[in-house]
Amino acid sequence: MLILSGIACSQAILRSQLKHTWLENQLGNKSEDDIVFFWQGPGWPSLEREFRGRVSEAEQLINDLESGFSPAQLVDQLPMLVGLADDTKAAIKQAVHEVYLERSGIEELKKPLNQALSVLKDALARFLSAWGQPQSPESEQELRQVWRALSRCGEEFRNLLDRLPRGIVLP
Amino acid sequence: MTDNFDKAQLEYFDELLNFFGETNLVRDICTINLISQLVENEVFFVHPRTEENINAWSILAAEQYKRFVVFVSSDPQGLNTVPQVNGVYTLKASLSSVVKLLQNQPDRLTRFKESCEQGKPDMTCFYLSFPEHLVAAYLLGLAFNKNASLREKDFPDELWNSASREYVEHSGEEGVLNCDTICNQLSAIEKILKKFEQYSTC
Repeated sequence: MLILSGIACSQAILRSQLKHTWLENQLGNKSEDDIVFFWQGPGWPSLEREFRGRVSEAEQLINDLESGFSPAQLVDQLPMLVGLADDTKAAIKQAVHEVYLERSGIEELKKPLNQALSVLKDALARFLSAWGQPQSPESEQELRQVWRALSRCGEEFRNLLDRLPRGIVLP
Repeated sequence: MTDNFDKAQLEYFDELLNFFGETNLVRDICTINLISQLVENEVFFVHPRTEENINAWSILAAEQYKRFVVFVSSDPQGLNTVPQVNGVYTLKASLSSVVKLLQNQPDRLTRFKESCEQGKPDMTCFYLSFPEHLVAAYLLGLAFNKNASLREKDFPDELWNSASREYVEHSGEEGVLNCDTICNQLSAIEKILKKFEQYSTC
């Protein structure tokens, strides 16, 4: 099976942004002490401005999981196929999409992705709640605890994103 | 990796930077920490205007990964803000390949700059051109195998002729692709298309 990462694929770009920009560079590279430092002082702009949006993007990624990496989209992109009759294009799209579903196993990832994102959302909600608490030794302990959970959930979701294609799949 | 190899990569990087139209770069080796919120232990190239206007360019070269990272930010707070807020984009490609691509097709760079100025870096500008007729033929072969009635449809001769040309060009072997032969050529085409998997976002 081929992954044509050299062809524009918005789903692959979204995947890489979520994995790399969010889960690795915003969430995964912070230690517990870093988080407490941000909480006590300068704040954490990406948490406050972006994380909820990232969750929505992740939901979008999962919703469009099968179609987003499908070679069927190439039928509307490749100049030599664009001009074919509509019914012919529809039949080609259906055929290649079926082959792709059979061989890629991408549908099997939908359930674990949904489960992992759901857990991550809960962990993020608990973390945001703790983040908003007035500072005290007790609230710092709670913050550390919920951070550990959020970090772990982020890692699990990241690992699942790592299993997704980097581009359009040619089965 | 040897030191010589490291040096060669950085020389290629200079060449790449020239293509970005910036010859007066401030170069610094930074240890970047969480307070500044930049990535640690990178070689850092910054355009002089960047500190005044973050819409300009800053570029990170990740030596240890042998890839370069293009960082583009539209954040008015400048480099002291979190780069990841605005995205760190990487290309898993050797620098020499990218330089060659830009040498041959400089319009890609223009497109990339324009997309960055609009706040949406279009990394496809760095993608390798691929044999699109061969991909189209491959898709048809897959479709024919799945739905035999598709073979009866009318496909333009130009598609098959162009796909055949690309097949010969990239495989170095004689071969004619058409409705009758395509299903038996899928493995051979797959081998050719493997060569075009080399660029990837992370």
